[in-house]
Amino acid sequence: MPARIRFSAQTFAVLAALAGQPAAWRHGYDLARETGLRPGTLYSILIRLSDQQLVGARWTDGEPRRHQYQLTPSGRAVAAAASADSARRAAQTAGRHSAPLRRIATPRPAAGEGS
Amino acid sequence: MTEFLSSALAAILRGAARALPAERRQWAEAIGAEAASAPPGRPQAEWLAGGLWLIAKEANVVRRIGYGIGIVAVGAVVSWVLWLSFRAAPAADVEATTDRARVLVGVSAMLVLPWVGRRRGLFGPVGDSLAARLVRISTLAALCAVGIWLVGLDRRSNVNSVVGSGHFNWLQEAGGLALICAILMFTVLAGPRGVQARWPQADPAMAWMITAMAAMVAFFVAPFQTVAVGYVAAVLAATARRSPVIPAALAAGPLCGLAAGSAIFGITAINMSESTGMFVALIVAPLVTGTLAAPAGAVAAWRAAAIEDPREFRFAQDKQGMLAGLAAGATTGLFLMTIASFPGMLLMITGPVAGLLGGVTGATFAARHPRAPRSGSFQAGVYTSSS
Repeated sequence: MPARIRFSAQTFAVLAALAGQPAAWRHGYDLARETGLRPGTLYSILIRLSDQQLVGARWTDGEPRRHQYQLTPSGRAVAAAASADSARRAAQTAGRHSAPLRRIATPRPAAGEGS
Repeated sequence: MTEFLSSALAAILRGAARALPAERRQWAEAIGAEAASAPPGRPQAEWLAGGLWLIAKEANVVRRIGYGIGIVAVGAVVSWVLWLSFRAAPAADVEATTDRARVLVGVSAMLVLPWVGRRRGLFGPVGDSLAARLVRISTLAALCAVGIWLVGLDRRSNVNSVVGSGHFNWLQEAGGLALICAILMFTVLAGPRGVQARWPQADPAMAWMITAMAAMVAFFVAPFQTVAVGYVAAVLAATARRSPVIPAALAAGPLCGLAAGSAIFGITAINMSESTGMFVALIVAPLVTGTLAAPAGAVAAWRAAAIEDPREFRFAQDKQGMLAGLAAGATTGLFLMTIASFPGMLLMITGPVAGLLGGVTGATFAARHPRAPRSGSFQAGVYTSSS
């Protein structure tokens, strides 16, 4: 059982984006577009996740070289636990504030992708 | 034009990456490599600017500049205080030696503060929020200013009158210093946490009571020093990373405290008799402090992290309201002391008490009038919307 399953909304968005395609190695620009995060925030999160060994990083061999990211097995477990935890908390929040009923959408739409 | 800007930013990014530790440079290079994927023009320039921001954050550039300025400022202040102490006092001034000894002790304490403030534990390192950093820096700067003001009193005091620190007495100075150090060490090492670690069955309230009694004794021996040490310890503990004070309380408390201080300063600026002045200092000033601390308590209670158990949540709200009120009251006293206003020293003691009462009142109001949930917000990483 991972020790920490609660993250900031931005970190959760990055984890969710990576967990959406667990087998794929993703590029930073793709992740930025999907999560709507600016590079300063996105890469800061990727650095922390990499430090915690939740995300693996590698350089591609071809030209131009690109840096790619993928959840590690422990990262996948943490992402799944965080997702379950947030769903449980969201359900509790909806219960506490039952009217009006809350719609839960995750993650928030990226900027410029229509409403 | 934007192409030139992008090229320039890319070059700066490559150069700035050297400011990062070797194991972090690949991340700056990664942003530079990804810039080619961004559409040319403004998006690409924004992407590269984001990379520069990341380098600034990772290399702690802003913090390094801030610390550099801080070290220079502290050095300048210390030099000025020493100069004031050794130059401004006439040779025949009976208080001069006492002031010099106390200034040297104060300077020594200031040299230890950065170490204490950065060491992991009760007093450090400083919390991540901007409020924590601002409160820590401004409070310590204000206390330095008060120290300078007290030393500067020598310029205005009668040469042979013994109204302040008095004739130099080694025994009194050494005893007072030892007492203050003992209380501080007791609070840090043998306070409730230390007692609980060693004697799990012991009542933490007893340890606090002994600390409070020792502080009372120290206060009668060396009032200003005890209050100053208390303020330094409180601000370091409140702004440390492990502090229970939430950033909202750290921001709202001092802001309301400054408002209260300004209001009291305005009131005391009116020409009044001695008895009216005492009435203002003893009754009106604490009332104003408590009243203006109430909004800080309410804001802190509203911003307290939600807890499922209603009783626990109410306790957390009261605690944050109380802490915000304490911060407001302490700020009021310190602000007035810094600008050398009459009730300053008195309010440094009565202000936190009045603020605490005001903060609890504000927290009670906040608990009875909960804020309506926002239409949309991030909660635990999930975006919730009422629409």
